[in-house]
Amino acid sequence: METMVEIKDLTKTFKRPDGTPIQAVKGISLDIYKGEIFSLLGPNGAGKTTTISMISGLIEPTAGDAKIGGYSIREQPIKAKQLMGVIPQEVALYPQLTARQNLEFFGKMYGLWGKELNRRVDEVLELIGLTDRQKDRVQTYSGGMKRRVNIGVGLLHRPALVYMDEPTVGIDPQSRRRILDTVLQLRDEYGMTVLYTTHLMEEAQELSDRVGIIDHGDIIALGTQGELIQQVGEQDRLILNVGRQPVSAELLKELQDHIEGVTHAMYDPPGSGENSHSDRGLITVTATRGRRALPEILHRIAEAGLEVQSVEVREPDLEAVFLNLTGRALRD
Amino acid sequence: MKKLWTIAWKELYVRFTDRNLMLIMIATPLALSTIMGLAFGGLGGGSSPVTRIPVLVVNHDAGSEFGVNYGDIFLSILVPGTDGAAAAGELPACSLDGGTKTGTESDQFSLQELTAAQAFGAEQAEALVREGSIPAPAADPGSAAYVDSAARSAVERGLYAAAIIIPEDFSRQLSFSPASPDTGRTQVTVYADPGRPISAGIIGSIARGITNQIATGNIAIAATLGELQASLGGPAMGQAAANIDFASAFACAFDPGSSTISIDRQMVRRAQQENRAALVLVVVGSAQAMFFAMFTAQFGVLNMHWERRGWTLQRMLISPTPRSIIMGGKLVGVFISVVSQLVVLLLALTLVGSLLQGRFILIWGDQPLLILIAILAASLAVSGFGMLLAGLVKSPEQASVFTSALNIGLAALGGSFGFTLPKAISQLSMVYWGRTTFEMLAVGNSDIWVNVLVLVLQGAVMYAIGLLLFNRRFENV
Ligand SMILES: Nc1ncnc2c1ncn2[C@@H]1O[C@H](COP(=O)(O)OP(=O)(O)OP(=O)(O)O)[C@@H](O)[C@H]1O
Ligand SMILES: [Mg+2]
Repeated sequence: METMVEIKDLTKTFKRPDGTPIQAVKGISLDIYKGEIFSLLGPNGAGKTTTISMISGLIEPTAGDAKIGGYSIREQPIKAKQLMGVIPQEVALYPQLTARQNLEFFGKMYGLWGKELNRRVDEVLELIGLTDRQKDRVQTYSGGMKRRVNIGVGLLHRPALVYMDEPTVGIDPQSRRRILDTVLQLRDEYGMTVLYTTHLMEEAQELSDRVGIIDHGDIIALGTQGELIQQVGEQDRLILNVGRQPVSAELLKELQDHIEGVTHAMYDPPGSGENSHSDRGLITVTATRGRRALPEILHRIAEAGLEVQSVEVREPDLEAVFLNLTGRALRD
Repeated sequence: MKKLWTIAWKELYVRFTDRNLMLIMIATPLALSTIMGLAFGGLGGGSSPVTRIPVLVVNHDAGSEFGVNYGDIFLSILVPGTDGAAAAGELPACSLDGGTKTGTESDQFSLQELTAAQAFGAEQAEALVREGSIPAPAADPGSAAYVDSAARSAVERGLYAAAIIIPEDFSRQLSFSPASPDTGRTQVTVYADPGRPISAGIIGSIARGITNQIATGNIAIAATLGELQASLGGPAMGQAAANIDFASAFACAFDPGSSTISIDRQMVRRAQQENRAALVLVVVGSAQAMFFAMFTAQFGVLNMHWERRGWTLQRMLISPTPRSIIMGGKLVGVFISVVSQLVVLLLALTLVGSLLQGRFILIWGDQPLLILIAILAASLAVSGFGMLLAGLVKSPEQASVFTSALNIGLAALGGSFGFTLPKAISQLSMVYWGRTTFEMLAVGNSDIWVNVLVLVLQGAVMYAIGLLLFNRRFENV
């Protein structure tokens, strides 16, 4: 397998305004192979953007280095940068300019001029489906359309490698679907290598050939989805909806400690974190051969005076891997 | 290099397609200047912004062999009530107190409105030294050199806008003598405060005007006397010359209602009328242009903070483009914006001035190359200032809190708002240096190099410090 990106001991320490250091990335090492979609999966503040910023030459690493197609980002940044397209987490466009003007401007920054530039811009507009709106100012676009232009800019110079930093944040399901399809298209039709960051397990699951799970600036797991899930073993996740009834810490402890096979129990109150349902309180229990433990779990909950409204059993997935490794849900 | 121009061009494009911004950059200063021009200069009434220019008149004139003292006449024209030898105190009814002006002539300057002249002699010089306003001159107290030097110091200290020195041989040289029918050469010296070029320019032309009138008056008299001589013969003419009431003759030369020496009066009137609206536009316009140029420059440079916030700066930085090209492109873009703004403003004000005047006039003077140099120097200074601010602030919000206050402060210091502060204080502000450069050029003074040097140095130093701070602050973007 040919290596596209070789990250070695990459470290970034920021200084807070009060002078105390904060280690955003703690010496990570990993390889990204040519032609694969590699997902960096981690919760907010895990260090995903900081990592991308370092390997795209935007910020200087405190220590370590990354080689892009063999070029060190520290020693030969211009050569390395020429190989990559970066799609930032923010929509980085000039709202006063039209989509076409934005594409042309950034195209020139990548050394595209004249006819070549025009052809590439037309191509990209086609790809992101905005050919008919190209003459409108970006400030008149919807959020999803802006995101598409944002992606388009990163693809203009047909890079061999694309970084995408949470490209689907805050947009409607239809636009998200489009973007995910584009990512797959980039690998399958254009043979590009994609580094995709997200805090959504479903996206990583759908897209990636390999996944790196990052938490508090550390890569805590790395491999294909199959490899990662094997780490968890036969653990199922049981998700019990108890509505708006209060759940005590004693109950969770009882479930975790006194039922055979249960390794972990936690509670998401209604409306907390990604649990946007305001009338669904969720108890999540992780258990080996979860279906066998279910009657006992239901019994204990009933004894505590709670009524279970629905039960869902999930096979092992990346969420379970994260939970297993950190004791926290990804969505925290 | 191509990329640098791409960035600069994008900068300009975004700036000049923003209608609100254009309103601030061009329309506002233009409207303000025009309104003030109309109010003070154009359509009659009102007082000139340049009024009561403080000026000293030092008269060393020893008089002529016929007992005529043109120096005293000169003095009495500017300082009513001085004991002119010939006028013996009283000036004629057509004197310059404005009393004889009629409604139709109200758009004229009178010398009284324009200047606040003061006779200056040994006594006044010693008084200034005593109260510590000026250093004691090296010459003997009471000597002509002492008074001259004191007058000069008073102007240098900004106490007066100008000092007019009438030399000892003034009358002798100007007097007609049968032996030498040509009048001689004599030199009236004007010390002027370069910090008040308009006032200095006005005083200069007044001094020239009065001297010319005395000289031409003398030529006219010489002609008359020549005729007298021819018809009468004999030595009576010396006596006759001494009997002519010069004071009233020349004083009336400045009165619109008088027809004593009509040609000269016309000349003086026309010169002042011509200058009037244009002068106001120059004074107000140059100050406003500097003031608004500061905003443009700051807006442009501080825009880097917004580009950082909006990630477009990062997007440029992750492209294979060196950081220096990106910064260079932005700064070139800002610089060209400011230059264009100043060029457009100066052209537009020329147009306004011409419209007010009813015919085309070059209100900024007729030295295009020097005007361009002044524009470039001023643009460099204000963009350097913008860069310094961008380096000093953490965020664009922080900048917007105090840039306006800072600009208004600098503009007030520099004399943008109609009142002038002591020169030493004004000089702290780049608005002062920019404004006075344009004013100097407007009155035909091409000696702008000190100003240009100050502007360029200020700009360069602030650019350097600002860039250093900015780069250090945003190492990690
Ligand atoms: N310029 C900076 N100065 C100080 N701290 C920073 C800076 N940039 C990031 N951090 C900190 O570094 C940590 C990692 O941030 P980073 O943006 O890389 O996270 P992330 O994984 O991209 O999160 P998200 O999913 O929210 O985008 C956070 O704790 C953040 O507060
Ligand atoms: Mg991020």
